[in-house]
Amino acid sequence: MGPLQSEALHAYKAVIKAMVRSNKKSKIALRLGEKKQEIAVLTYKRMNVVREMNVKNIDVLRKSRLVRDLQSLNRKVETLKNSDPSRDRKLHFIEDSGSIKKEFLSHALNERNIIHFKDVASFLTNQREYDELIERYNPGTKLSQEEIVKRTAERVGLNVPFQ
Amino acid sequence: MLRSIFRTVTPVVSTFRTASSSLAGRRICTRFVTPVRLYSSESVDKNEITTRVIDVIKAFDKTAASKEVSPQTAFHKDLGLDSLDTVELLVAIEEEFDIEIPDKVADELKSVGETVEYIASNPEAH
Repeated sequence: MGPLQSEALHAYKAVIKAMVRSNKKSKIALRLGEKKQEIAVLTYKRMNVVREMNVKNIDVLRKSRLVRDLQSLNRKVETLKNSDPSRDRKLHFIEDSGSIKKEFLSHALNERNIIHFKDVASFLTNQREYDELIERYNPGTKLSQEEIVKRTAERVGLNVPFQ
Repeated sequence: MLRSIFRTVTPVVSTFRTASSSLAGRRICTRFVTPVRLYSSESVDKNEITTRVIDVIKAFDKTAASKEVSPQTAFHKDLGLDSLDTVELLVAIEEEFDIEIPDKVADELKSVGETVEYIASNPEAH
């Protein structure tokens, strides 16, 4: 492997690393949202099953099937609740690296483009750090509306009504 | 105002002291309290590193999923990864263990076993 190739490889590595790191946080947030939604859907299904079970003079066969449904739903909710999206190993990879690789292979093997790739990597890294700092120095900008209302109420000694 | 606070505090302290002295007279518990050091865990052991590395490799969608991965597995020969894919995998492993593998070392890592060796030798890995 020539020096140019290994330089190219290092540039590629820097780009990939910057991309993985800057994607990670938003991906985790997305997964958490999805998890919440899924749990809500399952809970709704469970409620429906319970309602059906409480109907009077229900067929025995049907009832046993409903019980089984309920159990499987419960199990699903449990596993979902215990799963931690931030531990998922897929987060260490970028999903569609094929296109980046193609782009890289068609351009990378001259010095100027390698420098260009390195610039991209450092731009991504610095942008991520800048965002992190902005967030750290302005706490509360990323809060949800509910959270803001709750904190405002607490600041003046009140509680938000229980829903 | 401070003085008023102190004035209210003192009686509480004195009652506490008498309570503790009565406890000390009976000598309970003291023998069972042994100091425990709550350090963060030491650097991970090799078997665990191997399994985690293999898990990361399995999560990589470019590896042939059916392949059995062992410490002898080489990235290029056995998993069919080219140099760019290998780089991607190494980045993932770095993220998993929260370390930085310097470029020169990373160029030399060709198999699962070598990677595990390097991570085990890195004190920052966890």
